[in-house]
Amino acid sequence: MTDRIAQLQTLVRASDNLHINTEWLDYAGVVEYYPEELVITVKAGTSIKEIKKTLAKNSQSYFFRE
Amino acid sequence: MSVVHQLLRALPKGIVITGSENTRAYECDGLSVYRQKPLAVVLPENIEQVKQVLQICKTNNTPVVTRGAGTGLSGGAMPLEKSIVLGLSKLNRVKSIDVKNRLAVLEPGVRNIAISEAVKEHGLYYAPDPSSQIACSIGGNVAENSGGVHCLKYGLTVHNVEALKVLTIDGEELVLSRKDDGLGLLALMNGSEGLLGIIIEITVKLTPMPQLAKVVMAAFDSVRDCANAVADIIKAGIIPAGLEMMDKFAIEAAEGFAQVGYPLDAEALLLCELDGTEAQVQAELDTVLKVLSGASTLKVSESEAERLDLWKGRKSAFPAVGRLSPDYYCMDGTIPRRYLADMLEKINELSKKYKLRVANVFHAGDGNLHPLILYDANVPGELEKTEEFGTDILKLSVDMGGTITGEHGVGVEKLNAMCHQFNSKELEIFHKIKQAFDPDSLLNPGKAVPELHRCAELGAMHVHNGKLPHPELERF
Repeated sequence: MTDRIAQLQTLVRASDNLHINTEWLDYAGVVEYYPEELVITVKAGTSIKEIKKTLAKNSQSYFFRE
Repeated sequence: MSVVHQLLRALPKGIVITGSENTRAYECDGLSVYRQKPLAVVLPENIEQVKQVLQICKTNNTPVVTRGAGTGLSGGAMPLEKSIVLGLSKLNRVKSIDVKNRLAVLEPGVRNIAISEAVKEHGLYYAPDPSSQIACSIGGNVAENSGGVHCLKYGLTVHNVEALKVLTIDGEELVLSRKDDGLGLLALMNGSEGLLGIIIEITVKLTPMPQLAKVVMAAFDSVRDCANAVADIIKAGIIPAGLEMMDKFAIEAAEGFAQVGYPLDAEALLLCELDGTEAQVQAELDTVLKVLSGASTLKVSESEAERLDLWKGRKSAFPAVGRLSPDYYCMDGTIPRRYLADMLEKINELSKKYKLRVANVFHAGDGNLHPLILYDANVPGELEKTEEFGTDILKLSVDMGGTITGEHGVGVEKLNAMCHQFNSKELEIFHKIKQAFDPDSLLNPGKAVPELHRCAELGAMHVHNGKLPHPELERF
């Protein structure tokens, strides 16, 4: 993963018009979730569906629209 | 001619208060251990007079300490030596009420409870409810970003203010609104503690009164079980209208004062209020009662009178504790809910170490602690010991991933604690923001943000990762 981020950094520096596909990075998943704090930290490539599924287990939701 | 003479000459009779005896009433706010008399107190009756005061003070390079009702608990409205106090209590008109859009436009001196009273006939109220709501003013609420029991569900002051009119030190009128693009200046002004401008008009959001409210009282045999119940309620997807906790000492004090039937054999007590439509309240009640099934006593209010009775003990807890000790010091740290039990245990250990009693009665749902440290100011050294105890609690709050203030502000009280919360780069940014609004540092100077040398002298500069105290604690 560190290699991939370094690779991405090189690409960003070299280009002024770059489309980033986070799926390519495989950079997804919940970093931290404490339902009692009403806060979730996720990696940038996490799908909205997965976040919603995780939150729903505790009758929680969040406001972003799909 | 001195600045006081200039003010006396420029303003009508009765607006400028001078003389040692007359200004004594303004020498402190609700944190009465810190006192300082100002040069004079000015109580303007209109915005034009506020502008005149600012102009005279600016010309004379005289600091201005703005004051609402003086109920603040961190010394934010305490005068500075050679400063003028600008009291806005006479600007107390409700300017307009917009029922359709649920908004009210207010002058800064309108009392918090007076907003709800003014809109009651429309089935509306103003949600943030600091304990001092019968006296405190909306301008002061904005300056301190005040909270209260209902803030868990309905938000702090910052979430309930739609627009502000602010005077800069130059007398320029800024209009800030939630609808503005760009920098979040409206949010910046909430909690700015009189350092950035004079708040002269506030547009607040009004909330429909709930059809029904019920309170659940749950008593526990252990503090840990009670604290965990707080986290479990939120974890179950319920945001109660209020979620308050009291420890044994606080229960005994409140019951002795208000006689509302709190169980005296309990180690900790939880009050959980649910509001909304009848169906909402019933659905939430079912879940909450399931979560609280481990309680030793469980009671649900069956009438409005019973609900108010159950709250009466909690609401009188501070004066009740005041009966048990010559003085008490109210702290205001906030921590993640999952550490509530650990924190209460540590406060207990500190209480033994410092040989000072503590009563805990607080907004548990927000993780906002209010430990009341009991002391006697007439015993030499006891206040200093109390302050040291308080600082330890605030440091613990930061170490647990929390903050040094939940709703009382920094003022003069928590300047040292700010050194623990923020590093020098962060503090420098705060100073730059202050400079952008007030380059000559005339608005409440020295409050809220500590000078860097103060932190250096304390040796309490922010400790970087890897060298944190209390390494046993899990962190964000």
